[in-house]
Amino acid sequence: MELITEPLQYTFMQRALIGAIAVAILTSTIGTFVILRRLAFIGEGLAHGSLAGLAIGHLLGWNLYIAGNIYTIGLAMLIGYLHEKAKVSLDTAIGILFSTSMALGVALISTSRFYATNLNGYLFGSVLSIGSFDLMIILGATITILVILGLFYKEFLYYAFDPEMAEVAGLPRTGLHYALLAMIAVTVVVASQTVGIILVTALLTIPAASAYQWSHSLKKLMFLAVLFGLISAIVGLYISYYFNIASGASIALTSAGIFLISIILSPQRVSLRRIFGRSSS
Amino acid sequence: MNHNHPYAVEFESFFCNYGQREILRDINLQIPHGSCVGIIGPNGAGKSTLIKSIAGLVPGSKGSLKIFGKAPTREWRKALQLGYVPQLKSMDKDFPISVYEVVMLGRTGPLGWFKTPGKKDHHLVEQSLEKVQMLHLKDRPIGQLSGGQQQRVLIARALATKSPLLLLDEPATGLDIPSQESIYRLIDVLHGDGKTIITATHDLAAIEYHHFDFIICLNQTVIAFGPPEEVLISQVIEETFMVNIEGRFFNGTNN
Repeated sequence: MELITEPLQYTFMQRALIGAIAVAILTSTIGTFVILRRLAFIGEGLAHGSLAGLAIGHLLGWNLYIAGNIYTIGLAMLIGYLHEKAKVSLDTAIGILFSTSMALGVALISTSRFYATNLNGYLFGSVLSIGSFDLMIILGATITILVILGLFYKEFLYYAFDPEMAEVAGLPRTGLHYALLAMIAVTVVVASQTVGIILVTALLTIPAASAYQWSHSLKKLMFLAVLFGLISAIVGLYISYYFNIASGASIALTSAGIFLISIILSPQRVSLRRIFGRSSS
Repeated sequence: MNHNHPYAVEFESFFCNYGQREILRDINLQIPHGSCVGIIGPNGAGKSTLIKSIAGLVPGSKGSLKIFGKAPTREWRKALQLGYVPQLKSMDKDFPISVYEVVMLGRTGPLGWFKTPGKKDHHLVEQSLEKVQMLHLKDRPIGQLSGGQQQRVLIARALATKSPLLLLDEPATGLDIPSQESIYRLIDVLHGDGKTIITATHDLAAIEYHHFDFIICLNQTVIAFGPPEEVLISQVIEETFMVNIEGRFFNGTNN
């Protein structure tokens, strides 16, 4: 028991735990749509591309995660727009824009006096140093996105299953597509605080992909994804505390462990095509 | 909503392009409400495009299209809730969703924003599943069904919209013969309910064992439109499918 309560006497661990739990709920829920719409690559692209947003925020002296959110939503819209209007495949659009954006981030960082520890924080996460304002942003974003998904559940479900049919039914297919991209963008930036921009994809895809092995319905899939995400975040954080491992890495590795157990034990077919497949939207 | 308009679908000098390529050319058609219509033509003839333009998925580049007397604006399509059944191969068979949930999706449009399905919607879903004889499998994941069963579920979803117009894109393609026959029997039943049914097929055999009120012979433009006995003559078939009736292609070599 003491093993569990001991770390929690520190305020930074309390904040880290709350932050990690919120992020786990958010990434696992959005992650469900990410794997169903085969958008894993866009999650990764946005995460890496967000580096420029964080660098701009740093240069302007803004809150990094507010700047990062605004920038990354813009990046997501741009990817969607390039894909739609320039008839570039979504993969290509992501490839072009995320590498350009990341290059911009690296360029900006190289001109300014960024401390190496700062950069490490963005790349690998710094859940243990979350401030209370950052925590408010994380909680605010999590609640907002969960409310949006709850209010428009049947529309997003229809869009995710069959965008064409959804359009015939009079749903705004493009609007739903962009809304999903924007939510992925916010999720990625918010989650990067705990696991870093390099490991965000882990939280976005692995819990949902593990849950996918166990469920035949979307509600169960979401529920299990959140459960697996929570286990990853909490167990990962404690492992990080006791073994002195980078917290982002231990959270990602814990979720990978759950995935491994899931594919070995689950009664279902392993559809790796969906998990690793490129977007078809 | 006015479904008393005599024509379910009217095309007038309708053109449709994909990029630079012309897919449909000068389409003129008047499809009476309550009729069962088969669109036949070879692969690439534009059958799917014709169906999709009625469904509002593909915009025309010239000419006019009216559904129940009105231009198919988004508002009008929302009010109509067309029963579109896409090609089975386009369905995501790995999606974690049950038969019942798929059919309930058909209620999304009629329900509108912020509303959750009520008693009436559940009743309609069960009724639609009953109609396609799939009620006993309602809790199965869609991916565990056979192709014929999946097709029935998609038809049930279209029925759940309560649309007076059903659009079926190659509903029997890829199915075994008994499943094909049962799909066409189902189409007969639905036609008996007074719905307008438009079915695209590249399978000429289908029109032999299934009765259509009208046949559209399509090859980018309408080659012929009328009752089967008038349209299904060898000359029209040859022109539509660009083959001669003995099955040899008109490629000039004639070997």
